[in-house]
Amino acid sequence: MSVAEKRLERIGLTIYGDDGTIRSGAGNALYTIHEDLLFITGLEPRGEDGQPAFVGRLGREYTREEGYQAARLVAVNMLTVIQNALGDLDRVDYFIKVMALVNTADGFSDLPEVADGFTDVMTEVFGERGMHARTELGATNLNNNVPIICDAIIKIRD
Amino acid sequence: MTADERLEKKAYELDIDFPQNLLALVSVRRVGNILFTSGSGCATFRQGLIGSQLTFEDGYLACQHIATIQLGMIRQYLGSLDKVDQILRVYGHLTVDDDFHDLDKVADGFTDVMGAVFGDRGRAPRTILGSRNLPVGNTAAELEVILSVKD
Repeated sequence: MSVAEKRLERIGLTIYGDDGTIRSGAGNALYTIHEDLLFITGLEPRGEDGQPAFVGRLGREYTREEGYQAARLVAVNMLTVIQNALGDLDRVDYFIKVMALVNTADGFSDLPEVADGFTDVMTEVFGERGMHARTELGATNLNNNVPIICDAIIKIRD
Repeated sequence: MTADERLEKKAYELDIDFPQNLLALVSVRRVGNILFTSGSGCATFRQGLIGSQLTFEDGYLACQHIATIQLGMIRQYLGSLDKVDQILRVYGHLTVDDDFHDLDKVADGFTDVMGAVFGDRGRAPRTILGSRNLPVGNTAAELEVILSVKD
């Protein structure tokens, strides 16, 4: 079992076995690899059944804390994609850049506190290597009306 | 058919004339064998909020239009689209109304063109968000790409 998987187990998170249900847009790929860079698509907070587990906006349907939990679920989705892309989470050298899009109602501005749900999972799993430069942006709409979408650019190793 | 010929065909279908000098603004930058493009909109081709002032179909067409413009920029920079290795990542904004949530299917207009021109090498991870205001009188969408090129 990889170091990252042991940490996942310790914090009580399970990644999904299959990334096939996470996203199935027609012209999309879940990821691309160029040399030692891994580009991950913008991921929604989907449950293991492939359906969005959260639907609604921050500041209207969801509180900051619920948004934080949705962001943690996005991280679980991303770990599943990384595991399937690389075969082993320990091949993540370090995270470079994350974009967190938060679906907000007017007046909601606690974007970093919501996006921290994603970042916390990655640092719990990868330690310092999970830290990243991050940009949060309040969107007026997201696909499926999910509360948060995150993508990432990751440095990988052999 | 080469990628350049497929682009010409798409531009013809969509009735797009490429501006004489797409590089008037710095539109493409290269580091190593990775290219970054500026976001482009579709100017006055479609303006307004998708879901109220514009239909789903308008949004899809706008994204097709922008993909064709982006490929025109890339071709002008590289000389030929045959030098494109892989589309690595797509990022974009759609101008949408409050209750419109089908963003991915609209953005498929962009990725469908990339797929038509490059096949599997045009399939890429994608990050799309809804916004309320974009340049040029609320052009319907704005998209950009990161791609790799062959040596």
